[in-house]
Amino acid sequence: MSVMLEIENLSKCFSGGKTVLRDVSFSIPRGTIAGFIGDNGAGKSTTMGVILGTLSRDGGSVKIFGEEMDSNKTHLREDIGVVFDQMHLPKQLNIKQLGNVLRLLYKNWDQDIFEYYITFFSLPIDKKIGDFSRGMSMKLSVAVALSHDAKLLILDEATAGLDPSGRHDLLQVLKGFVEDGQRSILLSSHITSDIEAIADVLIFIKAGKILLQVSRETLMSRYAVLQCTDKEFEQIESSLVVGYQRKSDQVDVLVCDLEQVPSSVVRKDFSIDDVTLLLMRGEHV
Amino acid sequence: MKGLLLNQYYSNEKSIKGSLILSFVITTILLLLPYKQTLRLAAFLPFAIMVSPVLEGLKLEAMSGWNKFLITLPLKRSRVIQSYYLFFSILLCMGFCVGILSFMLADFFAKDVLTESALMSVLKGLGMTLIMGGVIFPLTYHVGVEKAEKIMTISTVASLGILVFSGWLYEETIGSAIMNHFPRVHPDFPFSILFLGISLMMFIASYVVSIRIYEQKEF
Repeated sequence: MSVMLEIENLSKCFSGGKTVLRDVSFSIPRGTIAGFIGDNGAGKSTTMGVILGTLSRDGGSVKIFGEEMDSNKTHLREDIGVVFDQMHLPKQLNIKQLGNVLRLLYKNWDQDIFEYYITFFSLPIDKKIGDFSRGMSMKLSVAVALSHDAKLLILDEATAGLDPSGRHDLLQVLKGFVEDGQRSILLSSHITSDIEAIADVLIFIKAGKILLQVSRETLMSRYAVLQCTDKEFEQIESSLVVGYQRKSDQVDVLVCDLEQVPSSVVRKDFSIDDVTLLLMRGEHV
Repeated sequence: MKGLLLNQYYSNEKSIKGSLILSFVITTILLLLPYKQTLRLAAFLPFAIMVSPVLEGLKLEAMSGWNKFLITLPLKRSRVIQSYYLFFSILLCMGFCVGILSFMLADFFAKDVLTESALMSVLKGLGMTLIMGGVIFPLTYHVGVEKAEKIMTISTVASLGILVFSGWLYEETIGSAIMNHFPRVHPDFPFSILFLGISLMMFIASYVVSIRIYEQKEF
């Protein structure tokens, strides 16, 4: 399975010396949806900004379709669809005018597909984009991202602000996007249920550092959240511990191999939300 | 490039049309007034009014976030700058046409408006607007559109300052020598051409600086 996006040792400091990304490395295989999970300020948007080139990087590499990303490699951007956490389209235009503009900017712009998504999302063609609600704006941004035959979608909180039916529609569209196994998505969202619904790969980031990259299948089948006493916790091999959170009289522990943990230790049913909370609030070995 | 220009046209369509009418009407009225001082203003106004949508457009783009989205498009950053400078130049040409039309109309009603002196004033007005554009673009990319009003003031002061200073320098240095060599030429012609040349060079230098700034900019 070839890799669509490969990030290696990415580092980024903002002016004032604040380090926001520390040796961030992860990869997204072809045909997968990767959920990018982390608290506010964890570095998700910064990572995406560095991938897209809206932010510079201080170190590391970004390879897209095996090629090092560079501001001059415009052909790579032809194949990347982008949705930011807010609509970043010219607000004075209407959809018709926007289509006319983007048709001239993307070589592979497909007006029929654009019109299909505009109809699918029930967006008005003649209304000024600036008058759209947040939900409509996000749908329009997604329609744009899907209309130029992109191979990789980078979506930063694209589902935020959508009503439940809008979210459902969007998630179905995204699932359909990777169906042929030739395209991939990097999707960040605060709504872990969205990620749970569609992501094949999960990437957890905290304070600019990647804590875990794992396939959802492996996480749910091989990983476990244990509820143990301090004594039991000490007996667990440290290489198995991904993260832990001390509570009043117990320790919640995320381990990477359920089989290697003594069967006497209590296992908890868990969701991606539980793992997220444990990793974000807890400590790491 | 075509897409960027079309976007700028759509974004500024109303203000361009408004500016066209406004600059034509105001310039014509100013030219018909029986004061000599208004001629200079009338020579500068059509340019200044016509290019004003560009600065407004920069503000709107930053507010909508389109300037960030532009970076993700399959375009080199220098193309974005090119499109702004080209759009500015197109509006400047429109300002020139409006100005000439106003002068012709005013000349039809009141004789002796479209004179050699008027043409010299138009050339200076064109040069001043080029300097304003040359100051506005790099400064806006450097400090941001939030300071648009300050940038506008600085660019106006800079264009006036450069006009006055270069006029003084011209008189002090080569002015009289040129007049001795070319006694039949309109006394203001050599300076007007020279000032336009300086303005054009500053505009080109500003384009290079703007590209440098924009290539380093983060969004």
